[in-house]
Amino acid sequence: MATEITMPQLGLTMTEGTVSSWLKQEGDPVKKGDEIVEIETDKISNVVEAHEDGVLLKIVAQEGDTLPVKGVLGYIGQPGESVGAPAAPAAAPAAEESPAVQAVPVVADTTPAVSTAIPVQNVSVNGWVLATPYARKLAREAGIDLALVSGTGPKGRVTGKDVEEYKEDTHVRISPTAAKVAADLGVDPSIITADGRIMKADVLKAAGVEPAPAAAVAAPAPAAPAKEEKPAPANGVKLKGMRKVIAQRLGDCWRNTPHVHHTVEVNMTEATELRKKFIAMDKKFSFTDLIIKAMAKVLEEYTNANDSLVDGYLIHNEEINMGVAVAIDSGLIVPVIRNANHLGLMDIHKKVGELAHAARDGKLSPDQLQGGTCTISNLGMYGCDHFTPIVNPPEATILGVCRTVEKTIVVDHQIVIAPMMNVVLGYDHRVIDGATAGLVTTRLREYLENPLLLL
Amino acid sequence: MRKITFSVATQEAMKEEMQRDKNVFLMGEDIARQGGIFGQFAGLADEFGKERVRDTPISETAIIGGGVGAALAGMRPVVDMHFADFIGVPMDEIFNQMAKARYMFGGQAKVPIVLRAPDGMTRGGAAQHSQCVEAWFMHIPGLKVVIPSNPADAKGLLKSAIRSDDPVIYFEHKKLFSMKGEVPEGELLVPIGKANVAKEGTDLTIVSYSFYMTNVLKAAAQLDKEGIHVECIDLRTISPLDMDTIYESLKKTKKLMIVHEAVKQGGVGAEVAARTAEEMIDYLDAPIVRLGAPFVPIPYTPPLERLVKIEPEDIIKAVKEMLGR
Repeated sequence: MATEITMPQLGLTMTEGTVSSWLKQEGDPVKKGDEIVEIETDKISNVVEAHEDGVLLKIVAQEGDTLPVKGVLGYIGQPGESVGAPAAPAAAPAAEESPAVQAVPVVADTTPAVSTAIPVQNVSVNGWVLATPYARKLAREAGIDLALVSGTGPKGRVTGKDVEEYKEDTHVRISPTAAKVAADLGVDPSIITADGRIMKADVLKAAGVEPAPAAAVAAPAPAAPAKEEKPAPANGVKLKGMRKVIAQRLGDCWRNTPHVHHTVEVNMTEATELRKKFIAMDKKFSFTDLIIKAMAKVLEEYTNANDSLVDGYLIHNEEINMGVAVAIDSGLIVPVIRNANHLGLMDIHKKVGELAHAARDGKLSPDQLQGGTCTISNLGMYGCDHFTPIVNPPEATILGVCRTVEKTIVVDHQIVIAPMMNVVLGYDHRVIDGATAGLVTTRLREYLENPLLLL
Repeated sequence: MRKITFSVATQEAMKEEMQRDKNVFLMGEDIARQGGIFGQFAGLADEFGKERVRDTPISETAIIGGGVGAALAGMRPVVDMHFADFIGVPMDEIFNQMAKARYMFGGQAKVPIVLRAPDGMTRGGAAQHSQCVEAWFMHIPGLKVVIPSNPADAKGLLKSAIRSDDPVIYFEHKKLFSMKGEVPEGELLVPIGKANVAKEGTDLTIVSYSFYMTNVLKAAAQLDKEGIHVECIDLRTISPLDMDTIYESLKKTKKLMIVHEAVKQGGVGAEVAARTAEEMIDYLDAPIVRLGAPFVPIPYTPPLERLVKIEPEDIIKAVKEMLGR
């Protein structure tokens, strides 16, 4: 009996994946646990393992094909066994403009074994879900989006009982704004994980930076006609994997985001002294750790610098999650330190170490890569004195950190030598005004020059 | 407890108040000699004499006008309309004099009058003797409007009305006069402006009054057997309206139905529904439903008359539709 190899769901928000390369060919024997096909998403690449012994009977999805989660990649079976026509890939239902009853698409849940979509039956007219005032009140209080609640009342109207049952079923506690964002992004709040009540940031985190519209997911990949391909240029290597993702995302971001950069020069004398004292006490932190802590504190004070612009919505992120750019062999990856403003310097140091280690080992989970609200990119170790980093959408800010080098400066009319470091704040000028950015960099310098304020 | 008819309950109310206060007297057509068209004044002339129980000519204007004058002069008249359908004749006396005098005289005068107005459909009363016009009077500031549904309330509300220093229109359904019910002996006062939860329930609130409370309670009893528990509120007074009792009930049931015999358009139900929508929109889990007569004169012929009536089975059907059962 041949079994399907399907597109796995890596992380909460993955809706589709692309086949990067097959590691086995049709007819190859495979053992349970063997890596058989490499897939990638906009966030991560991973390999799919065989979950039983046999031979790779058939490859359905060719390299470069994009499939929805649970779409059939191929079949494993016994030698000689034949495979019928591939089953249509499980597709998330597309939103249909129907005059009366609308099936609302719900993004797949976390366990791949379970059906991906729960169709919601209710009546909606121009996006206004028919519901009783009491149902609206209950939904409002519980932060439930009525579009996700099936209506059983007369005329298909959502009643108070329907909302209560939905609440029972999902136990979802979500802020009204988060519910709105979730509805706009087509994310089912019941699959979002959060500590306590789901806030906007959790939804964004779950939705990822560029949520795929449900309609795009629905196209059945195997039936797609072969694309006309131009011959590869001499010495050309087709982009794939992480490099392809980086190319795509940085290109999009640079085209769509008006960037401005502010540079400030920071006197690191105090920070250097503090670091020495820590080392003397057998404790250690890096300037990156200190800068993460400082920037998180600054964002706590200038909260709108922690906003995100997503599909025409300015989203106020409740959490301050600092991404740290880590260079790895295949490119660059940005693990995220959540609620960095609430962590002590030593905790940050420990987390950065763990995440960087996991990044280099390729062991970061998708959830460790999501939800950042600001990124730190430190090129100091490469001797860089100035650079203009590109923000990591939907984050509005990125902080470029340059090397610390001794310079002569004037302090109290005296020429002195001090360790000086440039930091560059790159920001999305649609979200943040120049004055705000100026306040952010000024405060950041104050913190870094007086690091005891951070302890 | 003893059971007496609605008609006797009102007799008792008047009798007790006339014994208590010599300023209370009665005026109307055929009330002394005949005892009233429904017997509601029977025997009172014998006890109190024809000075205090006065037959009048057939002139509503004279009856009401005389009553308002007597009230302004310090008496406490109870005047009878014979049929509520005739209330259009003394309309100026009611809405320009009775309702306004206290206000126009800056509170120096008061009009402690009760206007008894038998209303509603009996069998074949036709368009001019079957009407329920109570809603007209809730639109007039300066009047209180009471409308009992059973003998005990009839007595208690009438006594409260007679003691009120402001004019009270007392609507009494013609079909209720012969209705028997428990009425405690002796003093019984039902406050004006306070509704009564006649039956408790959890699934839906029905607001009604007057004779249709009988139909509502019959329907509710049947629905109880089917597992649908309706809370029944008897308004008892329609001006001032006791919305608080309705709101309290709605916090529990989230669904409101109003049932009255009067024409649905512009009826008491419209006011109750509107105020509920203004104050309680967040508690409504279904559109408000009103059951009332269609916008037609009351037909004479019984098959057509049935079509404008609301019987218990009509209420049961509407409740089930509302609950989606």
